[in-house]
Amino acid sequence: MQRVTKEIINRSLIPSSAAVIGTVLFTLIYNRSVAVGNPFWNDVAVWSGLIGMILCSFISPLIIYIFGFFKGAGFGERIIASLTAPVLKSFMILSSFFGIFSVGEVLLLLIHHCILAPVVFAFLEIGLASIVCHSVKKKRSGDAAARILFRRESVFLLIGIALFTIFFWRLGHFYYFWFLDLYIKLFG
Amino acid sequence: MNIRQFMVSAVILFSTATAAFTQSAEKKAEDERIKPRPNIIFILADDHRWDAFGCMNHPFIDTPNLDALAEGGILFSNSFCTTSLCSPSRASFLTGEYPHIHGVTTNHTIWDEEQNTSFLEILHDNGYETAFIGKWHMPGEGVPEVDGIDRFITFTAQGGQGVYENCPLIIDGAEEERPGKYITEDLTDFALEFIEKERSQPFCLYLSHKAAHFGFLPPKHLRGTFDDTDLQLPQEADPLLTITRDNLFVGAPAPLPFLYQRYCETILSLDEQVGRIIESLKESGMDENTLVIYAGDNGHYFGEHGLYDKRSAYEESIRIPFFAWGPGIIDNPGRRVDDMLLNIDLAPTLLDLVGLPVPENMQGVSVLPILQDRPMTTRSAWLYEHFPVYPIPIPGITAVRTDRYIYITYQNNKKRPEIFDLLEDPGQYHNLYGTPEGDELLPMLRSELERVKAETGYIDTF
Repeated sequence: MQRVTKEIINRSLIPSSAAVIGTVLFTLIYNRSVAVGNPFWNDVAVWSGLIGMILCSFISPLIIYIFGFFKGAGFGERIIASLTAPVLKSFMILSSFFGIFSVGEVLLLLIHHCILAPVVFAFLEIGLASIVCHSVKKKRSGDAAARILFRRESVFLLIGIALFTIFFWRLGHFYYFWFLDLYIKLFG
Repeated sequence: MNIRQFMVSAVILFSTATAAFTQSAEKKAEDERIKPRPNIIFILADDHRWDAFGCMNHPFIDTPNLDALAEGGILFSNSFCTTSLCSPSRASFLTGEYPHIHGVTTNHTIWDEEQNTSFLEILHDNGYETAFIGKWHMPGEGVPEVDGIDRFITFTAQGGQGVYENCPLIIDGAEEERPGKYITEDLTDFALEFIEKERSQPFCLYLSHKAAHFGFLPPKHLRGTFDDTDLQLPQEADPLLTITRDNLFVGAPAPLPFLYQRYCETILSLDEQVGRIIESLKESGMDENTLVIYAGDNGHYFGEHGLYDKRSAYEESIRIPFFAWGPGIIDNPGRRVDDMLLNIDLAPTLLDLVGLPVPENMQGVSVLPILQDRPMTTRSAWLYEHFPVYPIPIPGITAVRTDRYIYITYQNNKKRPEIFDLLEDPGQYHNLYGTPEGDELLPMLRSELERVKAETGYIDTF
C-alpha cells in the first residue's frame, strides 16, 4: 500500500503539483512584470513568466500524461494529473470576474471560450499523448496488431477538436457573438 | 483759417467720421445678419489616440492633412472622453450628456430615441440639412429610427463595428453591397457627395469612421508602410500581451507589434481621406463658412501599463484628439489650447455656434468663446466613469481628473484606488495612494470626486 502511494506521489502528484505551483508562480511573475522598471529585469520577468506559464498551464498535460503512462499510472489517474493545472488556470481566469458580475453571469462564463481554452488544449493534448504513448508501446512490443486508438482516450481528442473548432472558428468571432446573444437572452 | 472756420471744419470732420463709423458698424452688423449660418462637419475617428499625429510629435506617423487642421485651427491638447468606450462616448458626443444620463453605458445598452435628443435633431429642427454617415454602433435590432437625420448611411456588420473591406452599407434604410470598396474611402465618397450637393440651407455632417478600430486593415497602397520602422512600443509591452492577463477578453489573437503597425498604417488612410474633404471645401470656397471638427471617441493602449484596448482611466485611454478648423469662423487660428475639453462639450458648442440655446440637460460647456479667442476656462475637474461590460473583467470605475491629478476608484475595491500626479509622473507609474503624499492629497481628491458626481447627477450603481 505504501509502495503504491509512493508511486502515485512520484508519477502523478509531484508532476501535477509542480504544474500547479508553476502556473501560480509564473502567472504572478508575468503579471507583476509591468511594475519592473529596469529593462533587463523587465525582460527577464516577462519572458520567464510567459514561457513558464505556457509550459505549466498549457504544455504540462502532454508531459504529465506521457510520464504517467510510462510510469504505470491508470487512465483516471493520468487524466486527473493532466487536467489539474489547466483547470486551475481556467479558475484563475474566471476569478477575475468575481465581484464585478452577478453569480449567474459568472456561471455563464463557464462556457466562455477564453475561460475554457486551457482545458480544451489539455483535452487535445491528452488525446494526442495517448496516441503517442500507444504508438511507442506498440513499437516497443513489436506487436503489429496492437491498437493505438482507444475509445475512452479518443473521446478526449474528439471533444478537444470539436470544442477547438467551435470556439476558434473565424478567430473566435462566431462563438463570441453566439455567446453574447445567449447572454443577452438570459440577462437582457 | 479763423476759429469759426476751424470749428466748422472740425464739426464737419467729426460728423463725417461718426457717420462713417456708424455706417461701418451697421454694415458689419448687417453682414453678420445676412451671413449664412455656418456649415458643420464633425469627423469622428474610432480609437484614434490623441498622440497618433505628426503634429503631436509621433515618432513616425505622418499626418499632413490632419496636422494642417490642427495647425490652421485650434488643437485642444487636453481633450478627454468621459467614458472610454465606443458606444457611451458616441452617445455623449451626440447628446452632450454623461453616459449615466443618456443611458448608453456600455456597448450593449440601447440608444433610447424617446429619451435622447441629439444635436443633429436640434439643428435639423432649426433649418439644417443633416447627415450621419458611418459607424453608429449603438445596439438594437438593425438600424435605429433616429430623428432629425436627413441622410443616414451606416452599417451593421460585426455587431455594428463594420469591416474594412466590402462592408455592406445601409443607405437610408436600404442595404447595399459595396464590393471592392475600402470603408474609409467609401464613407468619404458619400460625405463629399453630401457636402457638394446644391442646397439653400446650411448643413451638418456627422462623419463617423470605422477606422482606426480593431481589425486594423489599411488600404492596399498603405500596407507595409511601416514594415521597416522601429515601432517604439513602451518598455512594459511584450508581443503576447494581447492574449494575456485580462487583455484576453478585449484583445486580438495577434502579436502586439503586428497590430500596432497595422493600426498606424490605418491612421494614414484617415489622414488621406480627411485631406479630400478639406480640399473640396477649399475648392468650393465653403471653407470660409464651415467649421470642421476632428475628434476620436476614446484612446487606446498599445502596451502601456501592460494593457491593450481602452476602458480604464489611464491617460492613453481617456485622452482623445480634438481639433477645430474653420478659416472664416475661428479667430486667431494656429493656437494650442490647454483647457480641459470633454466629448460632452461638442453638442453645446455647435448649438452655441449657430446661435441656438443650449438645452439645460446638456452637461458639457460651449467652447465657442475659445474658438472666437475670447477668454474662458472650461473646468478644473471632471468625472470619469466606466460601467462593467460583460464579459470583460474590468470593474466599474469612477475617477476624478483634475488639471494635475487623477484619483481612480474601482467597483467593490477590485483594485486598489490610484492617485497619480500627472505633472510629475505623466506615465502614471507611481501610485501615490497609501503614500504620505497620497494621504495628503486624498481628502481634496475625494471631495472633488464627490462634487463632480453630485454635479453630474451620478448615482453609485455598483
